Amino acid sequence: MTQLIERLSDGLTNGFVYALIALALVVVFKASSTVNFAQAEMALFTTYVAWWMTTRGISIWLALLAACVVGFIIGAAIERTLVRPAEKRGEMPTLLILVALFTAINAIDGLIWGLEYHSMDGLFPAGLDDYVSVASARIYYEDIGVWAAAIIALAVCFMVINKTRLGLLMRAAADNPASAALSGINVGKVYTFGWGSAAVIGSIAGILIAPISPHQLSMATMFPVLIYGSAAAIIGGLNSLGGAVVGGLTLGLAESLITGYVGFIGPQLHQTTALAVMVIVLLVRPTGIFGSRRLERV
Amino acid sequence: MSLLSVRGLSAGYGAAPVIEDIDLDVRAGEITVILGANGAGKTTTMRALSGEIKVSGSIEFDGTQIANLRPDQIARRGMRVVPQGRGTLTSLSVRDNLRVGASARTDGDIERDITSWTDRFPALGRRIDQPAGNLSGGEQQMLALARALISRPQLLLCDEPSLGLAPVIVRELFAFLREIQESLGTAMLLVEQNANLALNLATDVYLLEVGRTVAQGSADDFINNDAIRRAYLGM
Ligand SMILES: Nc1ncnc2c1ncn2[C@@H]1O[C@H](COP(=O)(O)OP(=O)(O)OP(=O)(O)O)[C@@H](O)[C@H]1O
Ligand SMILES: [Mg+2]
Repeated sequence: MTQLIERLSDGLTNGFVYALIALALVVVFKASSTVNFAQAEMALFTTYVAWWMTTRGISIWLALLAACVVGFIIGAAIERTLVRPAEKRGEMPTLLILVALFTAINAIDGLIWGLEYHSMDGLFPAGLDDYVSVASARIYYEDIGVWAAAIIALAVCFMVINKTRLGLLMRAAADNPASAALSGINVGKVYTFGWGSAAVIGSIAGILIAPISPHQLSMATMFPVLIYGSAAAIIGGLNSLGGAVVGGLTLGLAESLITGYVGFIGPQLHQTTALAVMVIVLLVRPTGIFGSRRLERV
Repeated sequence: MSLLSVRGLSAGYGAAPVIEDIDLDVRAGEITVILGANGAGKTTTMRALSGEIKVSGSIEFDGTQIANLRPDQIARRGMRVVPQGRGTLTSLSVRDNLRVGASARTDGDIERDITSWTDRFPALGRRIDQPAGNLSGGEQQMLALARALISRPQLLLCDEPSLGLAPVIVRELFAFLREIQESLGTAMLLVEQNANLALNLATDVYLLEVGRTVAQGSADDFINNDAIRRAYLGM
């Protein structure tokens, strides 16, 4: 029982972070119909920015804010200067650009911040005694904080997308760009905003995971997050925001329970399980669990 | 007084232009129709005017040059298109489709206008919170019209609004377009295969053949001139 609760708590924490990255991928996919392979590396960059600020004595909350601003600018700039010109040449050039960007950002991180591991302050109290006991299992404030922060971030995203004028324009531009433009929507601007927002979501995910990641803050911090996050987005259907969240939480919990209870898989094989789950889902439902076939009637 | 004045317009999709050297005027508050066979270049003309394809030549709308502006810039200046195939945002609700149509407006009356449009088209009102992709073809055509008109455009471009609709619905649709023109003073440029109905509705007519205007005149001329009717309209 104790182990189960601790496993679930662990799984939820990772799951929420995967959900955030998956959500960022879906927001980009809805804008540009492409999977941004560089999403997690962009998040790693802004996480480094936040870490660097904390080493200069700036509070982690201010650093989080700064990382979000930097993230927005980088995301928007990448869309405007790299992705949009590439899109005019087709899907393949766009994918290549994004893979190149993945490598480039990773290399830049290494150049600027070095290859060693850094320990990073968390947003939440992380002392040895900062936990609540549930049936003799310990649930750390750190974990509860990650859940709360992720839930707030997700709720804000859903609010913006479904309840605001800006969200309406985003949904219109994603549904039918040509038709949205004929209604007076500057679709390019909306896409730029989408990429910027996705990078903000990614920055939050990076800053939540780095303090508690086994890789601490290093070049490897975001690899598992990218793998699980993209798997979550694909399982969720790539164009469903709710699907991204469900996918992320499912994978986080599955990872934690499988590593804990299925002896032979252990910590080495568990990233393969993410891919296995993804392949199985896609075999059963090629559009993902929540992916929609377009409704069309003419 | 010309609201839209087009001179020497050429446009196409590749090297060779599909439409060439077109002159065309739409008078403020009047309905103008473009007739022509399949493939004559009617849709291409509409797409050239709305900014969807690059053009050469001059397009003056409401006193300013709009040639080669982006579609959203042209739309915000008060020219709206109901494209062939309607362009419904299928995953958005009917209400959100109307909100998108009104998104360039800055006044506070949008929700009230949505209500008045759904009063006008009860079928839309009944499905106001359903995805627009669930609507029937005729209902989608109504939605496309309402979505364009809720922006209160000066000029409405309609590409074959009657396509795929039952004859009785088509007559209702044309009566509605007349009503809008008379009550709101909206100028319209219409592409239509049904020459009979179109000539009844419009005051000015252009006839397009393989990318060029081969005849133009008032609707009355077209109706009364047997030579034109036989030569071009086969009626
Ligand atoms: N996207 C496109 N790419 C290349 N050529 C096109 C494209 N759209 C249309 N054309 C060509 O341009 C010509 C005119 O087409 P257009 O759609 O303007 O005709 P139309 O008068 O609207 O016909 P219809 O009555 O069938 O709608 C046709 O020969 C067509 O093949
Ligand atoms: Mg056509």
